[in-house]
Amino acid sequence: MTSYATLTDEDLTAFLDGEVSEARSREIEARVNADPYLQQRLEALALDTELIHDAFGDLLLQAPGAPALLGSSAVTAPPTRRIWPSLVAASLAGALFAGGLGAFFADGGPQNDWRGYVASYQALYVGKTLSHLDRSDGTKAAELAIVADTIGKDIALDALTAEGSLDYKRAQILGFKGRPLIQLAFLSKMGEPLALCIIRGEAGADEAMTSAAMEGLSAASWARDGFAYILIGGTDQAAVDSAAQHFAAVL
Amino acid sequence: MSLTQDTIQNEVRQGLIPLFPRLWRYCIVVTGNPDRANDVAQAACVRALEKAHQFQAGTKLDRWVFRIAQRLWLNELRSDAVRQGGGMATLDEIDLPDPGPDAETNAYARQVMMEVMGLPEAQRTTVLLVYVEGYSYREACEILDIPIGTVMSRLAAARTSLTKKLRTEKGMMS
Repeated sequence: MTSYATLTDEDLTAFLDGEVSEARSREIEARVNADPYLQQRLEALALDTELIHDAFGDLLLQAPGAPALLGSSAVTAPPTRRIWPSLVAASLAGALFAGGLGAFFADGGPQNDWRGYVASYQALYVGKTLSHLDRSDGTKAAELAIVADTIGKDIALDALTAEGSLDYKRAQILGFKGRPLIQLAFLSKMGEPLALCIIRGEAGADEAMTSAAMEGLSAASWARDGFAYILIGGTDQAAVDSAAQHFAAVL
Repeated sequence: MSLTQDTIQNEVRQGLIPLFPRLWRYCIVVTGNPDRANDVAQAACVRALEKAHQFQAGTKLDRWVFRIAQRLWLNELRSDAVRQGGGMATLDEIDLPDPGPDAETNAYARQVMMEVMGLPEAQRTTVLLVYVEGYSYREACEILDIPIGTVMSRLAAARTSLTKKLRTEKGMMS
């Protein structure tokens, strides 16, 4: 009935949000394909809603515990809460980690070294932590520029994608004892999560590359020109070493 | 209170505990300020327990509680916040919790969040429900108590301004 009426921004929004019937969706698609002006209008509405979804994820981590009136003596962690050991050292110990993860850290615990913390953190990653992320190069480059800037380093997206065996997914700022630490996350061809973490270190404290298994994961670490690095993830040490050599050469 | 009512109240109470972080996030987006979000989220929990007998077992607790929070804010707490003025941040000033130096933070994500928070209250609330919480238009209009056409026009307006802003930012950074 309204087939040939003008398509409003609301119609196009509902189309983008999958809120129209299949027949209506096909009709809008056909009209957009045949009309450059409609294409422009659709493009002006083509927001990356996944980005919005992800952007608000961190707010869940910052939520206070449920109020006492709910009778919850234990603070309830949302299922998406990510665990970062340095937070334990800060102030969130106790209730937050009273459950299984408390036992995890108490049982030998990670090494008292940033790389040990990284290894413990990486051990919590699974392929699905990253596999849903499918973002444009523009988004990744913009994110990478901001993240790399926190440690005062220029990192080009090309340097992370040219390696070939790893699919670059995401950059995040983490913290270790008040110092920024960046995490660049990858998926291997086998779907295993890997992370390249970089922290600003002491100038002149260069270290040759060493390989070791940490938390059951393959890892290679090195330090050069005032930055310390670790690449960790999966169980294929040769693959990790090879990718680490690449990163050491280009970063 | 009958045994059944007691059971329903317990169910609501148990359901609210894991729901609380999402409720609080919703309140941050609605109110634009962590202090006000704490107030509204707590008040919504109190109201939900008081009205637990009205909750229909088997329906979605999250939608019901979000709707309670929305009504509390619009009908009662929002006008208090406006009246208090002076000492409190005005409703136009957006304040987000400080992630802190040690918190895991994604800087670009925070910029995106700030752009969403810069939208008018009605738009950003609808964006949160549909694009972050993943509710359908129909569910969002029930929570917000508005016609479905209003949900669509808010989202269309939000998409237009966010697409423009995020493209400009990306252009500036690249």
